[in-house]
Amino acid sequence: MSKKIAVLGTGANGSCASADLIKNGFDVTMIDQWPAHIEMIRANGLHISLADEELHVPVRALHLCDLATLNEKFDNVFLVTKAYDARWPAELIKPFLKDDGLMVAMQNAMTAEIMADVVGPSRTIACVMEMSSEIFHPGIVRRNTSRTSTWFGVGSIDPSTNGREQEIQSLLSHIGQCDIVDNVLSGKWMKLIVNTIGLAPFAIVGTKTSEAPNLPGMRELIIKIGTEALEVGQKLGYSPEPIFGLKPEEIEGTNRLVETLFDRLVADVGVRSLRNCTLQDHMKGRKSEVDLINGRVVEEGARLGIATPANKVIVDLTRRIEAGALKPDPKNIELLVKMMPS
Amino acid sequence: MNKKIAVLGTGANGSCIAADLTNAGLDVVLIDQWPAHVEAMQANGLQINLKQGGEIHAKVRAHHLCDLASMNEMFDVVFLVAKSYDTRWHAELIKPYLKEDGFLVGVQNGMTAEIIADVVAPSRTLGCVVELSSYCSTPGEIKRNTAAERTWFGLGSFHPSNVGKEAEIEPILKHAGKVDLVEDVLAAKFMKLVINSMTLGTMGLIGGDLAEEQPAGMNELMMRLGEETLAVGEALGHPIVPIIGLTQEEIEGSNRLLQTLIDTVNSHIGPGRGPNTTLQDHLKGRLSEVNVINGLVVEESAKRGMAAPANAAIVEVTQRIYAGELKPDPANLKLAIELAG
Repeated sequence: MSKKIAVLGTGANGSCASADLIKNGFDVTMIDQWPAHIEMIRANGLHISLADEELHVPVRALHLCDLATLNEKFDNVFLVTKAYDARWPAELIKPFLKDDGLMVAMQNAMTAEIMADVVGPSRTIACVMEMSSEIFHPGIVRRNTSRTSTWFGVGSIDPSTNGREQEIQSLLSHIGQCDIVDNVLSGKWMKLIVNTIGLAPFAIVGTKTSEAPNLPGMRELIIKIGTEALEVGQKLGYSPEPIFGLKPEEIEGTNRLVETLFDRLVADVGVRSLRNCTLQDHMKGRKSEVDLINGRVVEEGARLGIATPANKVIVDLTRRIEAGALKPDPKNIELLVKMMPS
Repeated sequence: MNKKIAVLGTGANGSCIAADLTNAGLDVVLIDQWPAHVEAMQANGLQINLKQGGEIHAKVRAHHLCDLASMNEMFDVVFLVAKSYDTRWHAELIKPYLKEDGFLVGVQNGMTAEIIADVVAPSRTLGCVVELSSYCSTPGEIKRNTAAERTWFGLGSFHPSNVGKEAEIEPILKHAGKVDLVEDVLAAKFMKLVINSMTLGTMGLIGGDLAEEQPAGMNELMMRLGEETLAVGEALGHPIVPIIGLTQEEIEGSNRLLQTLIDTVNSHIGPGRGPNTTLQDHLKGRLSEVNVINGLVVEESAKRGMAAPANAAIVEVTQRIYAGELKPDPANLKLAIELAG
């Protein structure tokens, strides 16, 4: 019997994941809160532009309101919404997840525990995802990371799901490289460290991921930001984990962990990425994930007595952009450097 | 200062309320999960056709759920008028947009006030009982059965942190109907649940209209349902309180309490209302609220070792309709009575 799969949140990354699963013959239902996107893909199918492929697939797509008339349940739900949209989509989909189903937290930030709190730890699998994509027009997605440079780390966060990671790995392997990781929450924090560097700071200066590090002062800045996030994570009990397909020896004993991770991200995303997800949020006038990434570092730092001034600057400047008081601009690097504590 | 108001969930009842508040000149945004309805309202405004004749038109500000992330607004008051089974996720969705001293008011059937309090904190929650019948089948167009002067809201606080705060909401809600401030709003909501347990699932499964003459056996079944619900309400500690405009004298010591409640609902809505909310759900192939109304009675009764076979029968037949095994039909009454034993 074919498993029933739902992808809840089919923005750029959710659409890329759905398209690859559909291409490989899986029974996929796409569910999203953006009506124009759902209507477009229903009418014309979903289009993904990869560097070496134009992928076009027919889809089954639902508005959120269609769930109440669906009368079916899913074996697997991949949650690919924004990190701040974690609890409510989990509550929304909960009645439609089978008792022995698995829900996969694919988002940035530490959302796996939120999901477990809603649908139960025995139905939760955590996932670290490295994939970059963009969507500006309904139905049309640009995927920046190729399948070989897309990486997933899946893992259990509760003994009750031990051994079931393969059920998810067998699906995600159609989208990118998928490893089963022992300490997935540490892996998610490692990704959060990368995000503290690679998202909001680059969105503030409004440049490509590949170009931002070349701005004068940027490299020192991101090391500061990442080191704070690493320190807070260590105090929280998260160990350095090889993510993005790095080998343990590549991160062990290095005092350049933050840089190693960051260089890998730049290498994988490559020059193809035009705008990271936070910059896309700014361009769309939409709330970004900064509160759950840099903001989380500040919050946990305050609780643990660790100073996190660099992340605080990033949160403050991002809020100014969201409030319309500042625009993403390469010139903001001067502001960043000036505000950054020495 | 003008309060920023949102109506979250603008199906039939939410639309009626939002139209009245908008036309009263209040600062109201409508937020809903049904894209076609939102698009119709954005294009043409909201059209409310009154059963008693006449129509209301409102130029409303309507938004999709996904617009919240780019609205950059916080609300003083949010009226949640979604289906009661959609309560928790809606409350979680709107939580970041509710001011710290704002209120989320569940204008819904079912015991949703405690769920809302669990999400946004008791200090930001007010309870509300609503008596308003309306119908929506075409995006942007609502049929309102209960006239504004017959529409009733019972509004109240149920936590020490916000006693008396209901008085801030009353001036807003009164544009949509009569508002009574009620002392024990959870008891009042349970009284509404008593009515709903008798009338919604039953009329839904036979495809009937409460205002019309009922098939043989229906009245007895409704009385059994109401008695079971009252019994578990008493076990839960909810006193019998007057709602939908009845007075204490009218309900006190009455051995016809349940019949009085049904008669009062009927006198407020009148004949020719069209399908009730549960029958509308069946016709749309949509999940109904029976699980959180009759189902709640069954669940709470079971916890206390009490029997609620009539409510269990309604849940069972309704489930078969949702599963597509049965259609709303007068013949289903026999099945329900059999199952109730």
